[in-house]
Amino acid sequence: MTRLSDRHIPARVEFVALLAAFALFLSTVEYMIPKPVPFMRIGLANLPLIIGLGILSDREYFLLAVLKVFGQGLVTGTIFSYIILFSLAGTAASTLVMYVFYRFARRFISLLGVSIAGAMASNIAQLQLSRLILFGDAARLIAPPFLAVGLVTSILLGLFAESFVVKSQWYAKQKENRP
Amino acid sequence: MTLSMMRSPWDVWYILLNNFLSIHVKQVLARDFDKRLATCYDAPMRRLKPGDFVILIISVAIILLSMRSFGEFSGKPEVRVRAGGKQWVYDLSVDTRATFDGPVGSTTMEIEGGKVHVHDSDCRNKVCIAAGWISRPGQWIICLPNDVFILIEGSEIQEEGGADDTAF
Repeated sequence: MTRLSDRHIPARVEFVALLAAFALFLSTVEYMIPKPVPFMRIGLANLPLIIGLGILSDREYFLLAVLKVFGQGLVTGTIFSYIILFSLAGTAASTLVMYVFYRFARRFISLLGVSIAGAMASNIAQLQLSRLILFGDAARLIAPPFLAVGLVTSILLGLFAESFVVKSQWYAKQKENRP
Repeated sequence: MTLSMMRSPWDVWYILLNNFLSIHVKQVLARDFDKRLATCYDAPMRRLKPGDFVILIISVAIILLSMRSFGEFSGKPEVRVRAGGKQWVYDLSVDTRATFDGPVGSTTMEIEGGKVHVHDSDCRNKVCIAAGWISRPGQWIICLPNDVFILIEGSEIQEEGGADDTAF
């Protein structure tokens, strides 16, 4: 029912912008952390996307994903380089996987599983892309540390998101207002 | 515990202290761990669902799998030769000379000082001889008329830096 009428409700721009600003801030924080490969991120900026799953409508959620990619490109200065492709591929993959898992497997997994699945999807997409346009077969060399870092940070993020969702009164209020 | 089992006055103190502590801790737990605090501490853990662990296990499996191919990739470079439907494997670091028979005649491969080349071949064009020496993984020489295919597999350790140098 809500899914059908969803189309006619305008996206709550201010609310999405708030979460996008949060993502922007987190990518700034993340930018300080040194990394061996430019697109190898620890994924802090995905926190708004994980939290947003429960309180955003479908349109707003994908709008947030797009805003996150370009905001991140703006902050890290990679918006006009090939690195934005990696960001785009990773975010597209993780957004889709997290969305599908949350919508259709909510009974079996919590936000921890959603977070891990999203991180793995993002990292695998980026590895495939790097194999295609950057490293060739040598991409296999960076695969294990790349995936392992993603797994660890996604577990931490997932646990945080899960406890935030349980405790936050702000979240509870937004969930009621969800269109 | 009976009196005869005690060996020193310290045991008495130990038991008293133990009882006191356990009673005290129980009281503290009952008083302070009210509902709100309890949800605060263990709610995220309790809300984890079986699917989470399935996803976690699959992820770890993927990482282990990628590590396995990592090990294969950094193995010693070896020379694979395919001729007439058969395969041979040679060590790149051992100097040898081998002759393979094909439809046109025989092709002689030579390994010397970590490099491979075709020393002599009975084919018409001699493209395989003209290909010269190969030494790096992924390089190959093929003699089409005589159906001989020579390929170096594996990776050298210094290759890791090489990939980064060209990418950036």
